[in-house]
Amino acid sequence: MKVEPDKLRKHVLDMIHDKQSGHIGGSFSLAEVVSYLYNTYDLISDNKDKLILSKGHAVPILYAVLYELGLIDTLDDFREVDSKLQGHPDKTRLKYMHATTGALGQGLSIGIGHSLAHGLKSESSKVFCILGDGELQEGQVWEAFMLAPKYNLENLYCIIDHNKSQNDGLVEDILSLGDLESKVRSFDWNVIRIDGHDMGEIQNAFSVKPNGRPTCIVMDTIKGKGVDFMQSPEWHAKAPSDEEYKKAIQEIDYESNS
Amino acid sequence: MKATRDAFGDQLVYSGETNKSIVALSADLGKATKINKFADAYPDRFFEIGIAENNMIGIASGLSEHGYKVFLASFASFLTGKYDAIRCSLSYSNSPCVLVGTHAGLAIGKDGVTQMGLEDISLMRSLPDMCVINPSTYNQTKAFVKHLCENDLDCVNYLRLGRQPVAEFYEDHVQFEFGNGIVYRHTDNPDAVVYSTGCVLSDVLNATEDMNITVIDMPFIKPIDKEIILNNKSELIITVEDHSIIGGLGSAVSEVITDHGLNSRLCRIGVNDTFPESGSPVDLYAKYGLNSASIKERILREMDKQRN
Repeated sequence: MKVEPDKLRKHVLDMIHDKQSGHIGGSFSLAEVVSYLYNTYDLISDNKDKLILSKGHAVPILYAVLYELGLIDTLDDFREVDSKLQGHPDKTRLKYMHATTGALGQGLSIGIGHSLAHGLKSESSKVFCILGDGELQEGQVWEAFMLAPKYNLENLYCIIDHNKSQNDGLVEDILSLGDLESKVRSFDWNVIRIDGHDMGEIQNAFSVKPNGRPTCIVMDTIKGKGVDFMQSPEWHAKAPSDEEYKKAIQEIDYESNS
Repeated sequence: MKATRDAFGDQLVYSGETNKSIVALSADLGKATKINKFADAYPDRFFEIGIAENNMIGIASGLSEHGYKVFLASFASFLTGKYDAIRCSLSYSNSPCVLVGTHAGLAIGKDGVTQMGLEDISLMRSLPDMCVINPSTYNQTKAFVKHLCENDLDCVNYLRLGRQPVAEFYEDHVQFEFGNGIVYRHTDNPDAVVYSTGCVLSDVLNATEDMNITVIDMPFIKPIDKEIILNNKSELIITVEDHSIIGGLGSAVSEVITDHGLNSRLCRIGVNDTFPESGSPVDLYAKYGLNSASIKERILREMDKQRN
């Protein structure tokens, strides 16, 4: 069964509307890449490929995938007491989460650990780390950028959700990333820039031969992609009213059917 | 006399020969922490991370997911200073490994406060399920490192080690109950029970030589050996540690006293809620009340107070 981005968006809306809590904008911007990754790699079996959502606040999009794949029974207990569906990924409660994240900046380092372990075991499994663009303001990310090429981690992918917006406003206003591609390339990574909502470009990016280097895919995305009125920084962590929810679902349905 | 950090380096090499799941990480303090001995012996299972402790902690988390037993070493101050990375990437993630913090306490001397691990126990003790181990001698450290190498880990461990060579009080290959304190010098009806943790043991034993006092070595600060405290009742309990008096052994013992309603007065000897300074270790231990002469003086004063 294939995961479809707009179905994921609707589950995300359901969860966040229902609990009046959660992060819509940064979940929506990941719908295409997350669909591609789950449709293409084995992110479910033990000892296979790994997906680390370093921007842990976007976890509703992963719960939506697991629900679509029938790996979790319900989304109704999202963010509730005694639930596996914590506000940020918790691998101790839900085995399909490959890292416990939420304190930003830590996921790429954990990904390096997985990738080194694959090397020690002579396995060729891949490790995908998804980072937010605002998250790149954390210093630890750059420690990880510096280290990965030293150990030739060609099965490591850093996917940057460059949706240009963070908690308090636009990345450009809070702390600009400058020439992001050049910065990461100067750390000796492969760097590929794509439209993060274009399935063809996503597929091409992951097909490029890494040649002994880790790969960073900078995805230009739109925060809140899929619902026009949610495409502003205020939808980072805002829950929709009943009326906004209906309008958003209608828009996704309309776009899906047209 | 040998330092506890030497025991770590030596034992890790011994155990690493047969246990191929041991992996070591260093953040540019390999020589000082002695983890370089492992690097020299098994270069394929060693990763030099550079001066990036947060990154090292995250990498340990990822490696441990694959069944590797990761030892990661730096100075106690630098390692435990990365509290949030330890909290989220290791502790809350339940990624078992061994954090090795060396150069604990005042012993680093002239390099000064930034390099001194003085609040490290306090920080690590606050994390759920963390095991905090502060061994007192070379042989004891070797035994604990061997235990950590040979047994499955079910939690994150913080192993706190010293820079300075220390006297030996235990036989080589002595069996220690992992988790327990050790009544080193027992006295019937003692005037006080003194609990010592880590490398100050020889100073505590010297200070109390002629006194009617029970001395207990407490390498495990979390979980704390409650039984040994409940079984060695005394009106006066004294704790001695090369660490802040807040959050370390003294606090752990005070919690047992309070939780169990023991009728004991507690005196905590340690770095007294202050940042010390640069200086020779000898001068620092004297000034901050942690050499054997000042420990003795303080214990005598407290016993006087208790009698009056």
